[in-house]
Amino acid sequence: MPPDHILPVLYDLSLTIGNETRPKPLLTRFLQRLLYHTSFPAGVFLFLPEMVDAAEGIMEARIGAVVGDYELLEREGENIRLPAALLLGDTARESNAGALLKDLGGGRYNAFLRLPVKGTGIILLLAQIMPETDLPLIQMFQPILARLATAYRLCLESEQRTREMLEASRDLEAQRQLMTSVYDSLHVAVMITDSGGRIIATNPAFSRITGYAYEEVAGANPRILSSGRHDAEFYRDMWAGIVKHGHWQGEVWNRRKGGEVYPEWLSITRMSDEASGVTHYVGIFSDISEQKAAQEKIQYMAHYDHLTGLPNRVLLQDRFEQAVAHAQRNHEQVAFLFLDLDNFKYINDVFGHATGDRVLCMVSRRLRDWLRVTDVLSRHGGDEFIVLLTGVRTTGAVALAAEKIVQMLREPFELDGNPFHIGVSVGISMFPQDGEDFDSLLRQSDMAMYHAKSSGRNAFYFYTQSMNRLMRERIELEQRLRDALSTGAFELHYQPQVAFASGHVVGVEALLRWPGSGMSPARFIPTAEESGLIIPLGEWVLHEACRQAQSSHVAGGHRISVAVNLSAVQLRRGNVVDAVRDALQASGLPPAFLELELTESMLIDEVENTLEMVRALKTLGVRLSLDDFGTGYSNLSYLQRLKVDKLKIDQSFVRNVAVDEEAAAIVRAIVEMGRSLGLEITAEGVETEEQARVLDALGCHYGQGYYFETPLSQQDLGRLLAGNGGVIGHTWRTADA
Amino acid sequence: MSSAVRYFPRIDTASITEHIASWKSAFPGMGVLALLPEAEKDAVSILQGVCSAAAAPLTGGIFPELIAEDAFVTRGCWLLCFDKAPPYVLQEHLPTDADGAMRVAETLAGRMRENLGADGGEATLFLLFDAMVPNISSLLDELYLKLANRVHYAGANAGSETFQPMPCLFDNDRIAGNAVLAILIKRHHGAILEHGYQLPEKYYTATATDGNRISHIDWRPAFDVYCELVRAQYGVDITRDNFYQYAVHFPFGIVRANHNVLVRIPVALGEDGSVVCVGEVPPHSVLSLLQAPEPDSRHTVDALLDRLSTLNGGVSGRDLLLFYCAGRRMHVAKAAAEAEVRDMGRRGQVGQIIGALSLGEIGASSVRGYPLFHNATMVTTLW
Repeated sequence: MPPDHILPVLYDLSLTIGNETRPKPLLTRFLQRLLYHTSFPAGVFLFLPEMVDAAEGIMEARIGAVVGDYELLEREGENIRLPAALLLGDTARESNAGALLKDLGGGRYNAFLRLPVKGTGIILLLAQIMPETDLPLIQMFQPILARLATAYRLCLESEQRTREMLEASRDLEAQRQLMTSVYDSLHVAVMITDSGGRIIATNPAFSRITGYAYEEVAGANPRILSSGRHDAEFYRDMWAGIVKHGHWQGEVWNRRKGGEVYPEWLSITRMSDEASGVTHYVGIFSDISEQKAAQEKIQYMAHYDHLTGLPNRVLLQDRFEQAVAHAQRNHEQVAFLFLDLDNFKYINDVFGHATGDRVLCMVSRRLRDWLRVTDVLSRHGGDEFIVLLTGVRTTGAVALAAEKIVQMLREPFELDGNPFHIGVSVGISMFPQDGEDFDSLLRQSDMAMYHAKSSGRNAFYFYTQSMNRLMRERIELEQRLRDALSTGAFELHYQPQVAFASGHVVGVEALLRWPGSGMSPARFIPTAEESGLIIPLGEWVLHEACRQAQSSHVAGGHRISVAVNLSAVQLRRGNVVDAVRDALQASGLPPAFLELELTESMLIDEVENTLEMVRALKTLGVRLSLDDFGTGYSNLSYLQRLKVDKLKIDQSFVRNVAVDEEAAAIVRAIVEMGRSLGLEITAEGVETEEQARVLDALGCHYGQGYYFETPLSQQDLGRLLAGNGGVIGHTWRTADA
Repeated sequence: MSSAVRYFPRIDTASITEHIASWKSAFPGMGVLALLPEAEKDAVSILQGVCSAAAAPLTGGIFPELIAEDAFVTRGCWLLCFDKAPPYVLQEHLPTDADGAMRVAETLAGRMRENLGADGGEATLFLLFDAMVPNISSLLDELYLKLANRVHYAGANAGSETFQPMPCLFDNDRIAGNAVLAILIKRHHGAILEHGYQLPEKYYTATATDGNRISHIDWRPAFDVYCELVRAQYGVDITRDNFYQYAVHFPFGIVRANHNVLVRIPVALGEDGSVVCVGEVPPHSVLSLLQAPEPDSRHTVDALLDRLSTLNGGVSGRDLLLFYCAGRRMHVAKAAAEAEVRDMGRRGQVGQIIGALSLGEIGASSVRGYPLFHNATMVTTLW
């Protein structure tokens, strides 16, 4: 091979060196290419010791790399003792070197080419017979061997650096895994945004808390978690804090993916570096729903009775303050009722506290169901309750309520099929009359309760004495009314209504009388209305008046109508239409002979309901009249819609009609209005002839009053009608005539 | 190694079955190496069935033609019997990257090490490659790094003379392409390889190569340079049209330091002016343009017989296993090739010549030398 083809060999070897970055493969590949180009069958790279001690002519070298010799290949990395003459010296080529090579190849080799690699070791190419070549093997490899030495050193350094980097990388990876593990296992959520506020990282806790997977929020603004509970100012303040201090923390209400709004404790930290400024924002938050719930529970337990769920004293006091403030603004009173259950200790002792607790819950439910929303029911402790009645205007109402409570709790409580009878003793104090502070009223109502208990239980007692007397009287009257109703102690008297034109009795007004009571209707009717007894009483009056009227018609007496007064309470609470219908059906009285008197004042409230009821009554065929007309505030269109049949001018106008022009003018106006509407006009309370004359002259159709006749019993009325032919004389018409 | 070997002029199942049974009864641990011509490739399944039925391990290859009865034949098959079935590996899906070659070499070397034992006895690693494998030289390099001189290296390329992909290596269960069949033959002295090409005076450099493709010679398109060289040195005008007719007569030679030449026969042209050879051409290889030997040259045959005799202590009366490069036969023409085969048999006074046309050969330039991939050679060993 001509020398000018040395270059491709060297170039190939140079490329081989350049293609390897690891020390051992570098040596192996270089050896391999050397063998290829030189036709030596085997080669070995030997590392020589730094300090050469060849005193005995033998050196210890380390086998670095082997190509082509299987036995030597298995000894790579081992030390081998070889003649110094083989290992030391410049590049050399020997053909009869069996003696030198016997330890290397066990007699397989007789020829070698030695190529020193300065600072590293030597290459020995081995053969049985020296391969033929024209190449100047001794000289041609010098530059490439120097390059090999440098490359080997660089590979070692690179390997060392790589090893260090790998170790550092392993350490970093271990740290990274640890941090990742910590990050992933945190119970608090971590959300990292870039400087533009776009989410770039979240941890598993974030997904657990918010319900959003990272992929669903990546690149989005954290405002997607907003619940809408915080206004713009809240967020402005938040960001102002972050800008100023680099940090903010506080409670935020956010919304989970599923829509649930929840509270979180959020901490936001701004990350920045000198070069770039703000780089990231790190938000760390924890779901404090449980803490909030615990707080609310603590709050609840601090304000509510555990057993019944009723407000405890702490909350009661707060509610009391609110009720008092409201009462002061509206000039009202607040009633403070102290309830102590009777016989409750017996239940606890005999049936156990578990049963006692259940009874207490039933008591509280029964009370709660009955009380108004504005009233306050509180468990004071044990078997004691406090009731605040708000918006009180009369003590009568308080007494009624107390009475109701006593009655309510007197009813047995059914528990597991067993009736439990308890009662209650109620003590009442009033704001502001009895006191203005909670403790005073509590103390006073407690005293009143004890008084109620000592007086026999199942009772209520006002702290104020005068109230008690009035209430006692009222209750007694109410009871008497009840008894009278049940025993039929009432009677109806009838006062005739006379036509001015003819003097005939055209009808009578039924008036309730309670013989033997010593009381006028004005005395006992209000109590009946307050207690609600007016309902059954009014129904009795209807039935009795219709029955007696029909009885009179049947008996052949004058067929006159009977007028019955209806109470405002009946209109509001009683089913008047049904009551009238029942009375007519039961008596057989033709509806046209029944006249229902309604006062003007009772029709002004609840106009539409009243109109509806009036229409219903009209459809029954009865007649309607407005009593005490002129004292209310009804307007003409209302009158027109009501479709009443008659107006009864209040006696206050009739009383002065003969002597007072103004009264006369009012009567005249009423008469003219009534006539223009087609209504009949009756004057009430006619007591003198002069009044009768004037009223007649003014155009009234009928008159009623002592001038004509006092209220009579049915028998007396019958005798009156029979005796005079139904005519009650009127001297002025007769005189004028 | 047994001398049981037989050529079957026809693939006769009954006859083959009987023969296998006979071998099996004599050598219960026997194995079979089969050589088939391409025209008989469909007979692989018959051989697999017969051998599997007889529980006889089978290995083999498909070659363009067989060498039998001193001639190149396209029918029949050779069955070569091992007294004891040798260990083998049929490795498919050979990778073409450097790391892949290393892994394959480690796999093959590992299997062979397991079977070599510690006695250090001679063995030959007999390698049959699919000729379409593009990186045979690289695979041999890696194998030599692993096994070094523990074994002798010998082998040949199987496949189709058309150089179209074809599954050509087989055992009892499969037939594979892009594969290598490695058989470890113990107590064997290796093979001898010769091409007989003379080394010319002029050299060139393969300045750009990619596996077996030479893109540039002396920094110029390879085909352009090739045509100039052939015209200048041998007075022959080569064009794209006549390339396939003439190229086999003017192969490249990769010149090594000790004057050894690796022949590389051009077999295809690229559109970019590159020349594709049989076998890798390492980058920056020193090339020469070879002139094929004279058809009646005795040099090659004598060299083969002499070296084989030296290696084995004589060849007289022995059967020879011979792989004759198809490129060489194309150059010398069939009649001359057959004459060369007969000459070998006669001059060596051998028993019979068993063999096949091959598409590349594997051998070392010296005993226990570096295994190299060759073209246009004859490789032979005693059977």
